[in-house]
Amino acid sequence: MSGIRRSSTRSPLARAATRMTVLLAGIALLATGCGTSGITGASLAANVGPTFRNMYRLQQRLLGDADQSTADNAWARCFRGGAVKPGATAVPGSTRNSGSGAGTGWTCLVHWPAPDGHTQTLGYELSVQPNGCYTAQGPSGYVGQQDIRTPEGKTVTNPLFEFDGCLTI
Amino acid sequence: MRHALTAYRWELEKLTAQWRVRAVLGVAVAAPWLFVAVLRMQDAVPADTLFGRWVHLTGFAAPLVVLVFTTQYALPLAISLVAGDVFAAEDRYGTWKMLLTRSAGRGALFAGKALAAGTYTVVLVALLGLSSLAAGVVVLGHDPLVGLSGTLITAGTATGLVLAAWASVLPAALGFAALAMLCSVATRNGPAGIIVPTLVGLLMQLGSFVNGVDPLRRVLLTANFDAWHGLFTAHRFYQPLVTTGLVSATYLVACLGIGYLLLHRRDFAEG
Repeated sequence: MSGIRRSSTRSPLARAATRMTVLLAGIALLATGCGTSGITGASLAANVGPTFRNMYRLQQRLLGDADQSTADNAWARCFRGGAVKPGATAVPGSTRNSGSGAGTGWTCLVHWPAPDGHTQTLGYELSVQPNGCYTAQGPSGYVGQQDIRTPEGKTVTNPLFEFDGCLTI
Repeated sequence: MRHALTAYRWELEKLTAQWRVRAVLGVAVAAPWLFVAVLRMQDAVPADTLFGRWVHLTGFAAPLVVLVFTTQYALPLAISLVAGDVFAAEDRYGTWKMLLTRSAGRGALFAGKALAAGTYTVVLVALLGLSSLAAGVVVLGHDPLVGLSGTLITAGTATGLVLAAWASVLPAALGFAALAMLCSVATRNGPAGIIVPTLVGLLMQLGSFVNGVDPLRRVLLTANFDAWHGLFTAHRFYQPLVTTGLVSATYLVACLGIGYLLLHRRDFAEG
């Protein structure tokens, strides 16, 4: 008799805890199943290319340069591992998007048609967090130092030296 | 219902009389101004934090840097400081028996205390958000904000988005308040009610950095603290706000439910 009573007094707590676990597991399944793209070479490339374009425009704007047309066709290829020297010139299209997962060791090659017609390739090193946000660090020999000076004499961060972005995951 | 409101008013009065509450709220208003003043005086930028690179370019970056900093370390502690003690204080002062001789029942008392802790949490987040936005704009200017896709966000839109980002962490903040209240009811000990949720917050934060446990990462309360990133990209995305909001609501309901059951079943006659 007493055994039955004890189990009945404890059960609401146990029930509440069980319900919470089940509910959280359900939400986790739902969130995972909701067709999120995740962190892949392709999703990074789709994000880094346009972000680089915008950062290039921002840099030109900060430097007071009116000509902002040249980066419009920039696009990126991202892969994990592979030692590509920052700033190395590669043949466009010679690499494919590959790899997945958060962490360091990502490389994105940004192909950027320069004003004189030939395509410049910039190697950005990426570190991607599990929440989908990344930091891309550019080759300083090509994109300039961390700080740049505006025509008004103000020192600001160089947008191409390092930039952040966040993927939809 | 009427009893619960009365209990709520008592609790608010007790909270506003505490030096601890006044100190935390005072710091929430003053600290962002100090932080922004330090940023203004030095050349270095907190580049390892999202938006940290742009603090000298625009004042709208500062409230977002403060948001990242506080949600990473300080917010669970500041919330638990009050929510973790709201029930245990009655044990410390031995005032439960006296409270329960009043006409208000345990349900009304619980509701009053939970509402008061919730109010404190909302006020704390609102003060931090508004103060850091004001400090940023006044000290560092209101030039357009550089978004997470490199596009420029005008001052008007940036103001709305910064406020929305701060509002978006409220579900997790309230979830931590509920967790702290549960610890407070369960341990009947103020320091435990403060320390346990703070440690849980830090552990969840560490867990969210671990790779390869994606489904697990999504059910952490702290995932809600990152959900606002989608507001600042060129193509905005809202799904993290919805899923982490649901997760936070689950924590809130479960912690409050279990806490209420514990209080409801407690035998005060034995001491």
